[in-house]
Amino acid sequence: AVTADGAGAAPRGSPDASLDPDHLYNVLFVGDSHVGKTSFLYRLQADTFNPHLTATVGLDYQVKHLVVDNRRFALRLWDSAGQERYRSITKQFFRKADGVVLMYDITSEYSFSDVRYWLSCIQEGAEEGVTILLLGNKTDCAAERQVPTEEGERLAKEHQLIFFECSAASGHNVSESMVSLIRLLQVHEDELKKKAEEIPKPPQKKKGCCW
Amino acid sequence: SSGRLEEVPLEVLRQRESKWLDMLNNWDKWMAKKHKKIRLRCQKGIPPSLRGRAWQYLSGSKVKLEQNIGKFDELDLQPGEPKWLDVIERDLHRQFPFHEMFVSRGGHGQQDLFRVLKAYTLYRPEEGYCQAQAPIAAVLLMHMPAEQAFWCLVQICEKYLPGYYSEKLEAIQLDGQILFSLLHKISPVAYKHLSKQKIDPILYMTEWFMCAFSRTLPWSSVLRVWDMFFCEGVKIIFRVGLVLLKHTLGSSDKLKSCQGQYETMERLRALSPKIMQETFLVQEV
Repeated sequence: AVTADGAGAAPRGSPDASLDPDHLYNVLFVGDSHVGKTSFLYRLQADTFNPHLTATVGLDYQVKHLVVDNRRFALRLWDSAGQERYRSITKQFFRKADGVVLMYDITSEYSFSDVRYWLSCIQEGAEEGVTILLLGNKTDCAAERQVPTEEGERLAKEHQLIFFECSAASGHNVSESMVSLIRLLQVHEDELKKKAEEIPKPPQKKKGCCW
Repeated sequence: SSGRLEEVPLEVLRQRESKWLDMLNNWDKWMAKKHKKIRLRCQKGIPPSLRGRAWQYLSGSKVKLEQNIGKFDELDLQPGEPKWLDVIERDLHRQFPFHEMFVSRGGHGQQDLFRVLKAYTLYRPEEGYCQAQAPIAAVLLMHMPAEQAFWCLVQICEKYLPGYYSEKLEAIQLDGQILFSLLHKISPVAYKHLSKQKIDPILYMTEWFMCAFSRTLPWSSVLRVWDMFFCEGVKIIFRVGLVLLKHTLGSSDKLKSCQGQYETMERLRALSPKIMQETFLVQEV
């Protein structure tokens, strides 16, 4: 059971108390310039394609509420500028991320070859075991494809990443990929909790002593 | 709407135009002896019909062009580095996409934007192209031809905001820290709140400063801020930033509705139109 809550559910800027998520994750979007990070986020929020988005300067951020498997999730989505020189700024925010979405453009071999570079940035900057989603965007431009699906799959397997091809323009696999990411983030969180529980707790306080 | 230009009575506008014409025609004399007066007139707003010319005088790009006759044409004829051309080309339709000058792919506005940005990568090959330069160049092109816009861009990148667009973006990060320490003096409440929420200045000021507010403020305010910026330099950018922060987060009343980190970020992303309005903003700056 997957339902995506619409973009306009709450007026911008008002604290969303009504939704009060069960889980909250920080997700950082990285990848070369022009691969479609901002367009993907726009599609995720507004469910339309906006061809007039300006190039991201620095970092941008938004919150997305989703219900997955009957649980409420809030994703804090950090959109970063792709151009190389901004990496000195973006790098500082790797550590805060629970998940990283690494995007390339299937019509650009160059953006795909940079994926390895981005992986090394993540390795260097993020917490160990951070959940990574590899996304090949622009499946709507099939005629201009330069990166075969299998290559993305192979790379994902090699580095144990979740992998999807998607299209911000058509909406293909946009929420599907986010749902997969959420599920994995949750598995990861549960594992951490379990580990924490293995440490013996102080005995529980007796309940209802007056009975 | 807040984007509408402040109504200046026609008579006042004509008076201002003739004052500015007199200044531009006797520029060296005015600069040497009556700089205060120039500053005051920039604060009042440069008449739209003379804005492009005035910016070139104020920035010194006019002199720069005269010292480098033919340089732009020379750079314009060179092919340029493919790695820069690719990024620039992909950015052309992403600057002020609703402005009539830049609306059509391959139209004059986009072509000139390409020429100016490409010329810069050839002029300063070690710096190349930074994506935040495109909106700056686009605003300039709305006011002057490509060659003039190029030299004005050079002045901005070298004299006004040195290092902002360079490889490691160190200057912008440093200015973020400076802005934050100035905020401590200007609005301790806002400073305390941002410190408590651990919101790094880089999160809200990067676009403000790198694009000189051209993507943040309503258009009429952008022009007024740039008028002052060309006259007084980067301190105007700092002051605008401080005004925005102070009037967004500067009282306990204002903070009531944005207590968390993310509510605060959201508030800074969607600033109140009231505080960005031309008359209010310029007066506060």
